[in-house]
Amino acid sequence: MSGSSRVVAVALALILLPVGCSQGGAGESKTKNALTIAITAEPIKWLNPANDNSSPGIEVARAMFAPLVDTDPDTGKLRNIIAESVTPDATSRTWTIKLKSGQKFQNGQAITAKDYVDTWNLTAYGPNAWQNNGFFSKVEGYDDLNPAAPAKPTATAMSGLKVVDDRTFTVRLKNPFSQFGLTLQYLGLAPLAEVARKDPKAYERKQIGMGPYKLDGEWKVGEDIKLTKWAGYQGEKPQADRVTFRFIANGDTAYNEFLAGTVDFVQVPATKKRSFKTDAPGRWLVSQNAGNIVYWAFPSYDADFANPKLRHAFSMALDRPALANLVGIATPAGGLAAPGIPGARPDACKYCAYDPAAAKKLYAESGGLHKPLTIYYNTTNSTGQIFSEALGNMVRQHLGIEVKYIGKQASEITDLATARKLHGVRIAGWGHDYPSIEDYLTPMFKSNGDANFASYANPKVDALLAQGDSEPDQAKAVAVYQQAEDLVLEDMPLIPLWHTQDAYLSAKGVHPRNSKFTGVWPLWSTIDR
Amino acid sequence: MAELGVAVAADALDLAELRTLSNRELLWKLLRKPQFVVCSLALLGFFAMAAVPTLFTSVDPRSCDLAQSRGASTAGHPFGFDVQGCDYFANVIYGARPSVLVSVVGSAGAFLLAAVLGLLAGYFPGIVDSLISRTADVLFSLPPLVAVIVLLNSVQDRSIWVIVGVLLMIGWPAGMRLMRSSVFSVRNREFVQAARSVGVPPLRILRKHVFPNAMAPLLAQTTLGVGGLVGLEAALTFLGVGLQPPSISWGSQFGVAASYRDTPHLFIWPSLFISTMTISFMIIGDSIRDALDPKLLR
Repeated sequence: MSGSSRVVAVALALILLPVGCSQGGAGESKTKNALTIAITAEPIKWLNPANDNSSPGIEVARAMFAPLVDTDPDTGKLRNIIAESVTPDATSRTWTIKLKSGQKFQNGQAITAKDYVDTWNLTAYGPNAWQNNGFFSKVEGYDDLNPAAPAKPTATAMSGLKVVDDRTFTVRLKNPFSQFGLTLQYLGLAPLAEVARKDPKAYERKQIGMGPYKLDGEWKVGEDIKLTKWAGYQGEKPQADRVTFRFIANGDTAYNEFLAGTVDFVQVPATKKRSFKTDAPGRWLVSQNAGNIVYWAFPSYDADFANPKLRHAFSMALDRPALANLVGIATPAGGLAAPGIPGARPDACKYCAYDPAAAKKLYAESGGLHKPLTIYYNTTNSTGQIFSEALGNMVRQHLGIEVKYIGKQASEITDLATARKLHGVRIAGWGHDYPSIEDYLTPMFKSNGDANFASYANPKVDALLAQGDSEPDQAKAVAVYQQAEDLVLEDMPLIPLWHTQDAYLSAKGVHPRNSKFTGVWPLWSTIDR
Repeated sequence: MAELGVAVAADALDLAELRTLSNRELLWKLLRKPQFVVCSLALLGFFAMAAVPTLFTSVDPRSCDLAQSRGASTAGHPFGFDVQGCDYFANVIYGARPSVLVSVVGSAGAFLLAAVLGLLAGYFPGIVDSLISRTADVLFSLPPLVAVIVLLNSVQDRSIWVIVGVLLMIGWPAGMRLMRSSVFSVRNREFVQAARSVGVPPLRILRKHVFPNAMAPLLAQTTLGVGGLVGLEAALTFLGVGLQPPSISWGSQFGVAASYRDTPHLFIWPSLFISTMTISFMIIGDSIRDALDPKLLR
């Protein structure tokens, strides 16, 4: 280093030094037991888990509230948190929920069964228009609170919810649903304290929680959410004494903030998925969990694709490991449920192994396609075309068919499919709401499923799903769902492709919990800095 | 009558001396410029690539193995492999066709359209001029890139001809204006008036007297713009409104490379070809303009 550049370096250090100190937030976050977590989203507008189904809202609720039950990150089994027991009746239609004793809200009020029932009724009451209203549509009496448009609700409480005693209440569902216990880990079901229920609007800035962290003073919309550890929480206590959630709308900006050292934890945005390992060496982690699945979807209303052998041939012409490699961080799909979900079998799919010769034979037996295969790809992001071309190349080269591509906005493709005017294949995806194999089947493959991309309908599958729903024994229920999965894979209306994983950056000395069952939780980080 | 003919001939001779070179002289003058020769050879190379890609590579650009995705260059694959695991050299060679077609057909078409409309507008003031010029004004008032994106988005199957057509539609008004103004400066010159006075039909006057004397600025502008069209085709494809797969083009290679910045060879090769072709066209355009510019003569 020459003399002059040394002078420059010293001068630079002098200039930078005070700047480094003046960033109060950054300096604070470097203290051992404080974490600053970037949430890459627009700032949330209120603190009320019952009226928030956005992922940033749920992330904040995970710190301030606690669920009835959750998935044990080590074993993947359901464990009780606030609940002492969750018990279905013989048909899985009436559920009895008993709370642990001696639990309190952060204002000192004891948590009772009434708090749950009243909060849930408040959420389900149509005119309130709270975001988690839809969750309760499975509960008996929900329709009285949410009548069709012009009519007024005839009740303010669902007939299916009953308080038995201070610590016990029952939920009666419209139909048997064996997976209801699993859905209770949703943080949108957290109870509001009595004072907060009386005037929900007033408590949106000073919400009273019941989880590991409480608000540090009143919060203003648009500002960071500052939390401190609450000693009264009886569940597993996290290590950090203070947690700050900082909202940064743009993923790239949040990523750069991390690199600049102002936040301790950030999710890697899609645009950085190929460069994060070199941008932040030693400070990245990839989620061990992949709670989603990506499909190649066929239109079942199109006679050209009616033969299941044709779809099996397509599926076997795909080299899934190479595709997963192209996607970046992904696991090849071997069944319909994501790995880590109870009952997921990595070899459930008989037609998902790469075998070009067998694929060609099956294709010939199926009679083949009599026109070029049209592949629709999403132009909304840069990867839609690349992934579709990779799929197209494989079927073109291994089955000897011509392919043509049509690029459109994602919403246009969905509209075409809904109107049954899409005469080709497209990429579709699903991420689970609760970790159950059932949530990988009902939405896509039940004849009136919410996400039935292929307009698929099979009465046998519907019957098996209904049977699984009413089976109170989880192991038996899973076995029934697996039978449904086998039937669906035999029909293969959607070709399972891969499960994508998320990546995160976390500061040196901060080690977020990373579980193959629950993914990455920054709140329960081990801190050794 | 004879006197008049002599006068016209003398005038024309005078003008010719003042104004410009014959085609042969122009060609000779151009060929003496080394940069013109080099760039013409480069363009010939690109044209050959577009016409007969198999001269340059025997590899099928659509034979891909995803396992080779983004692989570095190896024997037989000098440019390595692209994201899909296809031979990149073959892909870059085959990618020349859309660029050459768009630039050459687009420029020639735009030149013709602008010349014809500009001649008509400049020579027939009144209703013809108003009609053409106002139409051009309407097209001028649209932001060109936005108009192109909207138009192309409304087409389901975008072939190279659709793109050329849209570019022509948006591109002609500028050339038309240039042509129209140079026609204005020529239409009242003595030799045109002379031809008119002896009863030569207007179309013949336009063809024989006005066009040759008014085309130089448009020609120079068009050749300078060819390179821009190569870039525009690439930009449109990059934006997702240009050519769709399975068409192979430099623009789409460029677009894919943009999201794989850690593999620079994906980016370097098509951009090298795009720049070489664009610069060649521009230097040729410059040379022609210099050769035609009366101020630089003698």
